[in-house]
Amino acid sequence: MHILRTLLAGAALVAAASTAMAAEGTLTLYTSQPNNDAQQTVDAFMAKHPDIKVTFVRDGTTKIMARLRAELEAGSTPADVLLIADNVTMEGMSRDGYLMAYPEADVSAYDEGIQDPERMWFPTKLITTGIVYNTAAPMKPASWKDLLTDETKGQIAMPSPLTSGAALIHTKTMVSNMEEGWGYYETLAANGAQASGGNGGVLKAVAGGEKLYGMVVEFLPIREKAKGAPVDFVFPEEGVSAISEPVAILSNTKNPDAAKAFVDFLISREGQELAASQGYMPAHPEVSPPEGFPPLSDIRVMAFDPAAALESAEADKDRFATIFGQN
Amino acid sequence: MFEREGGGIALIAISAVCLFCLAPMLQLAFAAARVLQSGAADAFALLTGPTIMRAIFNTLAIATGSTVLAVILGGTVAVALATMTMQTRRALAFLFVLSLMVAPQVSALAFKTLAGPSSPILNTLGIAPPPGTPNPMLGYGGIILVMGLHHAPLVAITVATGLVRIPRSLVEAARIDGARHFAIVTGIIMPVIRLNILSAILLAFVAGVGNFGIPALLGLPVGIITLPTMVYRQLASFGRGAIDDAALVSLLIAAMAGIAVIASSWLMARRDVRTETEHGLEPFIHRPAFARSVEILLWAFFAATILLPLASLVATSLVPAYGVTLSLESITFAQYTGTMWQQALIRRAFANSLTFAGGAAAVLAVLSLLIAYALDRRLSRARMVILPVIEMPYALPGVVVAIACILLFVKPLPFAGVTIYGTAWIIVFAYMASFLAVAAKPVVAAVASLERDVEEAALLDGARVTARLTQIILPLVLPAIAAGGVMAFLLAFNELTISALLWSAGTETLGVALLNLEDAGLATEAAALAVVATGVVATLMALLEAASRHLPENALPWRQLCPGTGAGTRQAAPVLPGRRTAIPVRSPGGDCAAGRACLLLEASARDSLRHRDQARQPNRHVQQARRPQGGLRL
Repeated sequence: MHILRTLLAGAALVAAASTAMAAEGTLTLYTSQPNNDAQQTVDAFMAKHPDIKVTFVRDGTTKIMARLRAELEAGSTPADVLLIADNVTMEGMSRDGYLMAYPEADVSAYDEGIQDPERMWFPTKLITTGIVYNTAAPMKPASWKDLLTDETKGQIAMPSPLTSGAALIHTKTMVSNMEEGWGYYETLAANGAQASGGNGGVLKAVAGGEKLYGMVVEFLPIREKAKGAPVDFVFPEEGVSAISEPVAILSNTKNPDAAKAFVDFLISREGQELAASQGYMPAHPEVSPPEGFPPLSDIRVMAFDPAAALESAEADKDRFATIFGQN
Repeated sequence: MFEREGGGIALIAISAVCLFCLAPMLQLAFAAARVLQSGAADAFALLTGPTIMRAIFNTLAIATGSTVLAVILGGTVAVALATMTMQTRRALAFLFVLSLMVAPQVSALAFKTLAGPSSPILNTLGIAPPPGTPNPMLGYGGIILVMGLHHAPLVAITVATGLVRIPRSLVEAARIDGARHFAIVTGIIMPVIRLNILSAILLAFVAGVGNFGIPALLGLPVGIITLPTMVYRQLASFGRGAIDDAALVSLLIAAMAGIAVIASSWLMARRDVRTETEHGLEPFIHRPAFARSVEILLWAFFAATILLPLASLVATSLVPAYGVTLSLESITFAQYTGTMWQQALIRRAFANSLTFAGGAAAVLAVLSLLIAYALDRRLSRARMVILPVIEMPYALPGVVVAIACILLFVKPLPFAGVTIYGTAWIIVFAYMASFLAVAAKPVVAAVASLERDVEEAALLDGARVTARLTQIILPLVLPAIAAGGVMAFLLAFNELTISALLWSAGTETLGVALLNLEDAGLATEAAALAVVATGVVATLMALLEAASRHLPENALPWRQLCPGTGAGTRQAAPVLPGRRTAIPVRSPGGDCAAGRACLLLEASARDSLRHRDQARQPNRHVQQARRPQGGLRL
């Protein structure tokens, strides 16, 4: 009896080991991460799993989702894993049955509040949107309201929710937290703010001095500042909006083992330290944030309701497009 | 007697033309018919919506503005190069065409880095505008300026095809009559080439309507949308569900461009001025002081509009982060030595662009020979139908061709049940459709000009059609095939419009990678990528120039800008590619079945060169002269 139990345990162990060993083959990642970050992440993962070859496709959240949705509707996509800006989009994917649950994922170290109860997607970072300014700018903004003043007239660049997932959530967060609601954006538009494209374009406009102020995700200016670019970032006093850059496995993946290994890697301590080294605020509470970031406790994140955001996403985009033109 | 053989070749030629050129165009026509039949009201509503009206207005305004600029600049340069003695004429022409062969998105990026508060050049000179100044290149002005400069060489090449044909005697007669140089240019040359100028205007307009790279980089960031960028955004942001709307918009583009293309070929075909090319125009303004100062002026102009933006692009690729001023302390080569190449996307994009463009160009080169041979020997009556069909996808903007390809392949192929949509093949297919005309044009001209005597002798010797094709025709027209193939490669290698709409996971091209890096805010990486891609193009062009002695005249667009350069070679006219190689006919290898015939006929070939036009093919010259020539579309 005792021997049998040992044998069974041994068999189970072998089975478990072979599952881990089975993680091999190819994996395709669809992501909205900037190219070089996606490359580093993929390279670090492949160094750890030499038997898995990862190809990634990168585009803005809206564009990559349009591509993925079209492929899914047509019946096949090369994508196995999805790593995009926001969990609202993930909720939509989950609702439509395109995601695969991964209940075994080890999220014990994380705050349960930020996890998806169904384990369809997993936050990998905290990405907040605040204000970037060119160091030559005459005014150092401290509040979102500073962007409505005469000093910033015609000098503001911002990403468009029609392109960027982070911008969509930021817009929703702003209109539900600022007392002016959509009036804030109407005033911004009247103040000559320019909304188009993604966060990368905003950073370029401000770093290049074509605009002096911008709304942007924090890691871009913090990282470029370290490289010597003439930009600085502020967390406005009202608070920032936040997204969690979740990762999810697509339900029709051809390589679930490799996909799970990829998720495991991103939420592991090692994966989180990589994110911190790339200049992102990690989601793992025990991994310290990179240089240039205030401690997590100092950052005030404005309230946000993902379910409501998913509900009103199309209406929000339309409203934004009406205010700023179709960009 | 040739007509009995070569049926297989004719079949291949016709199938290739049908597959690559006719099928996508028919697909577009079907789409148009479907719209008219079922949803005319919906279509009308979409096409009169405020967004599209704005896009139509922008497209027309930008196309018109850039055309005016391109015609003034391109026309002036073409006339100056053709009429004045300049020592550096060839170098000027080369540089001018290089600015056309540089991808439009690279050009746009270069000009964008040139102006604005963070311009490395302006900052080094200390004259950069203060931070907070918008970049003047972003917006209507910048788009029109960059596009006008980019299309000016296109105009120059088209105008030059007319200049070459001006009889030298006309100019000489005027000079004997005491006409001044200025009067000759305005009173004689301009009227003779007026149809070419009109045609150049239409071509530049079509190129402006269809251009994607320049408004994408200089217009989208400030919310200026044109029809091609609108199609791109519809597909990129709304996926395949938007294909019907995108098709509708691309039909609108096709209509705009199509009218201009048809008008242009009609103009070129009815060329009412008698242009005999026995003694073509040569530079006749020799006054050193005048010609010299124009030469210096041209160099200064090219330095400002071509070299300076490229220098600025290089400078941008040498700073560690966008916005940092270039100095001895900040300079870094990290983009070239590491950062850029660590990205799989960039390595993949280079590999993809090289293989897609290279593969398409290689197949096109082979097809060109078969098509040219079949057109000349088997299908001579059908050539007036087939040639325009080949031209069509080339003349239409890339965005229209890409949409046609999506419509063609979005459903699985009828018998195989597989689809090439979403694979590399659809991009290669679109390249083949788009650039067949470029590859075939010089080969068609070369084969048409070949002596038949040699081949007839080989036929008597019992050489079959494949042997004659590979052992007699091929060696004679090889230079034309190479020139056409390389030009097709260059255009496909630089291309963005087609792949921006057709790329999928793993099939990103250089153009797509550049757009993607720009979008992600990686401006220095994007600049470095643009510099390397431009280097590849410039190197290939320089190699072509170095080999130009062996290439047929007119095969290289920058040579067309310098009529009368190779003294002597123009004596025997018209410009018949392959003519010079036709004289020293040799048997290509000892086992050549036709070898004896070649040797036997060498002498008679030489003789008949002198008489052939009058004796053998009296109409061929007329055909040659009437065939629309030259012209590049991007």
